[in-house]
Amino acid sequence: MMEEKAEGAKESFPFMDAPTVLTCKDVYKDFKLPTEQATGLKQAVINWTKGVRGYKTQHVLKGITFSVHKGEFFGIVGRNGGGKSTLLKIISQIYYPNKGSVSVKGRLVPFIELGVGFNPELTGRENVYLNGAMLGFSKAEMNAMYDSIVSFAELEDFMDQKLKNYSSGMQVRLAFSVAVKAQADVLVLDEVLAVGDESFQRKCDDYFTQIKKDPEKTVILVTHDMNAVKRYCSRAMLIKEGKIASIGDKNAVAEEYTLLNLEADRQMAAARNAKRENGKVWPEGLSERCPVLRTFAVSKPLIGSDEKFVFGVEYEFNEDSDFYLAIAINDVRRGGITYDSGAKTFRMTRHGRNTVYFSFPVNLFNNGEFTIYTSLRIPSVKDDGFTEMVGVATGDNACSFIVRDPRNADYALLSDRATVITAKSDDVETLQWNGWRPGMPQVTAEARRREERTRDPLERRRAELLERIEEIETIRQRIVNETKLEKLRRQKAEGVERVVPIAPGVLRRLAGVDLSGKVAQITLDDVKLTEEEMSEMTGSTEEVRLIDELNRVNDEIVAKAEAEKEKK
Amino acid sequence: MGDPLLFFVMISSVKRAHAAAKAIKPSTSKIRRNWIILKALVHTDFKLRYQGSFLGVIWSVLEPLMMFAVMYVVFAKFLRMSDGTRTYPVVLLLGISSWQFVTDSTNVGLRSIVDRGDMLRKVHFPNYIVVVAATMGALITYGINLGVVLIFAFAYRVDFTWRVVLVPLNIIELYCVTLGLTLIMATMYAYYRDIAHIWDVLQQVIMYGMPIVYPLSYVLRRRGIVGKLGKLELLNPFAQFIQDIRHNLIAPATQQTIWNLFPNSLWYVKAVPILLMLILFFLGIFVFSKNSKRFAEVM
Repeated sequence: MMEEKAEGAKESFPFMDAPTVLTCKDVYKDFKLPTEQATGLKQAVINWTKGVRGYKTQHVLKGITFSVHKGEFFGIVGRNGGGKSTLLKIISQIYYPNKGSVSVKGRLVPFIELGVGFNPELTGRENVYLNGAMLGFSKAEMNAMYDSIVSFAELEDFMDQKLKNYSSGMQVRLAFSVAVKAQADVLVLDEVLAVGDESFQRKCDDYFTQIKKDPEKTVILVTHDMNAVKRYCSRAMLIKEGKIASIGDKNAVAEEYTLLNLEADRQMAAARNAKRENGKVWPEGLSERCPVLRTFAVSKPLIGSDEKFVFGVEYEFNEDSDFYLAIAINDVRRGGITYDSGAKTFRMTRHGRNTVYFSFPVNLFNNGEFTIYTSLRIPSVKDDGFTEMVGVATGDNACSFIVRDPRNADYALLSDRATVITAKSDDVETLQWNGWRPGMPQVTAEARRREERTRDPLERRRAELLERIEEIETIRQRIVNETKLEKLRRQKAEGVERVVPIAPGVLRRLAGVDLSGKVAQITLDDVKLTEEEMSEMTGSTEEVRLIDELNRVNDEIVAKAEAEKEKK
Repeated sequence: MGDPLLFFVMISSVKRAHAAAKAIKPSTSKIRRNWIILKALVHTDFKLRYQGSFLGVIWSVLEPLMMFAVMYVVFAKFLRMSDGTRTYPVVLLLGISSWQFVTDSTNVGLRSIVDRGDMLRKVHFPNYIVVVAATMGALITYGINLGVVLIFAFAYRVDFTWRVVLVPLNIIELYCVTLGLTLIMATMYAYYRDIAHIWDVLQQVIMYGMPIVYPLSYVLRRRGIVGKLGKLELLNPFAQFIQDIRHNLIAPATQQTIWNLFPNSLWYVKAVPILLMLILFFLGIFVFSKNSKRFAEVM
């Protein structure tokens, strides 16, 4: 599936027409992790007689298929433990796959660690020759390259000292210098950018930018640094739990990686902060009084600045008093609360268990990662003006989203559409703010066209209504899915099961809940809702009103158009 | 496992390859690349062996000289082991240094995979090169020792015969059986470290079951079953090849080998050491290459 997507977008990536230098087909790799290591014959015999297998199988790679073309700068990212290093070692023929094949055309030099084979007892010169020999260069060939290696590393005065006397920075410089001059056709680097001081980082940077332009050299880089991916890579791949989660556009991959990390952080925080109360374990922020409070995304978690982020809040509150939902939007990267709705702004009318929906326009903001924290509040018993917090949706119950738009900058929070600093002196020439110049409309051409079309008040009203109805429709679709899922859960509890496979990840994302493998085998389409269940959801009063108004506006527009035609 | 390099090793004296390619791209020929790595490893090992010592490389000659002095005083002068010939001390020293080659080779070689584990886990190259490098190192030391033995041989005025030409062949035979055994043990050591201790004991047993420090005639002269079975000591390929070396280099008249100790009718008995050598050699290659892919993971 992922390959098809990449193939469809072939024209947009450079070097895709070049011959492939590395092909991985359906690579599987398992490791047997020893639970009781037998390092001696005695232990092995004991284990065998006891019937202890002594190991459990860990599936590290589960079917990886991709190819790299000549001249590409290919990035591989993923969280720790996802299988990146194993994949690299399989590509470098250090490990061999259990299933599947890897084929390489040309010379592939891996740098899993800089300075492989460096012996601290030998001098720098001897180590360079040794390392060169490991890579296959004879003494004569090394002699020719030696001077350029030393000058790249800037270690002319130190080559005859023993390597143990070098500082770690010098060692890394020397190792990188040998790696660079190795003239491989395919260079595979594993997180080597992480070490070294600033001048070394700059050297790496120069080298990478230079090699990026060389169509003869292919580089495969494994890194955790998303900035590096965005700067150098022509294409990237995200590995998650042994499978390819995303391959292709480097920005898309980098965003998804960021999202993955955010999610993981939240889950970790949630697990850490779980409380115990009345024999039950409550996640942080919840309790007997407020057993359910959860914010979840309805829109995609990655949105542009023209869109609104639509999200839902599911709560359960069974006490009699008034209660409110206060929603705070937290800027993850910059820190601080970007927007807060206020403690008593949204009063809930339905008690018990319910789900409500909100939308939040993000046009004012630059690119950023945000988390929504919702708290359930009741009027304070002491003072009616203030509220007390009964529950809060944090950790796993919070919801994150990312704003990305080409018009946006990355540094500050507010975009130029929110506000700009205008110069008041003649001595200051204002060039442009992030692509916007004074006098330019602060909207995209698309939006401008839309604006022009709706200058007519009727048309504008119609557009507004349509937008509003679409929002409601999205929310309703969401509610339908939730209901179906609830029904599924009930069916499963009763033992009803059908088997039609769909990807569990899709289902999980729709619901925001974790389903066991078996239920994930049923598709939502299979779940049929009865008339009764459907009637509960259709025809909210607001929607009915909006549709009526839309019909009226449409009639007016048609009447107006006909009137104009008659006039002509 | 059709890699030519191992056959290359067997014909080691013919190797020195053609001139290097002029271009500064590394040689793409696999054989050449492996050879370069082998040379580098052996060279490095040798340099590291005498690291930090004052006398440095001179030890590689001094050490055997001093060892021989001790052996000579103990065995030839003190214990008066002799098979009656004038040149017995030289024969003794030759035997000792040949066996030392075997122990050196096996002790370092069987640990070589594990010791170089970090390299195997980071770079791809054929694993057997590491073991071959260890045995080559021992071979070089053996060569130096042989030089010292030759000096002693001249001092004792040994009459060299045409048989000297056969000595390189015998050394090759000894090398092959040692390499085969080392490959097997190196594979086992990667999984079970016990093999090192087992081999420690085993090599003592083998050594005393061979006519190295005592002449075979001592055993053959004994009465009863021991005397009769004494000849069987030569079925051991190590014993037989070392005896061959002594026989061809120093004393063809008096040194017993399987060729002159058994009657021609028992030709199948004479073939046993060579057969064992071939079995060990090919078994070593087979076992090693089967497991070689997993070394990086096991360590």
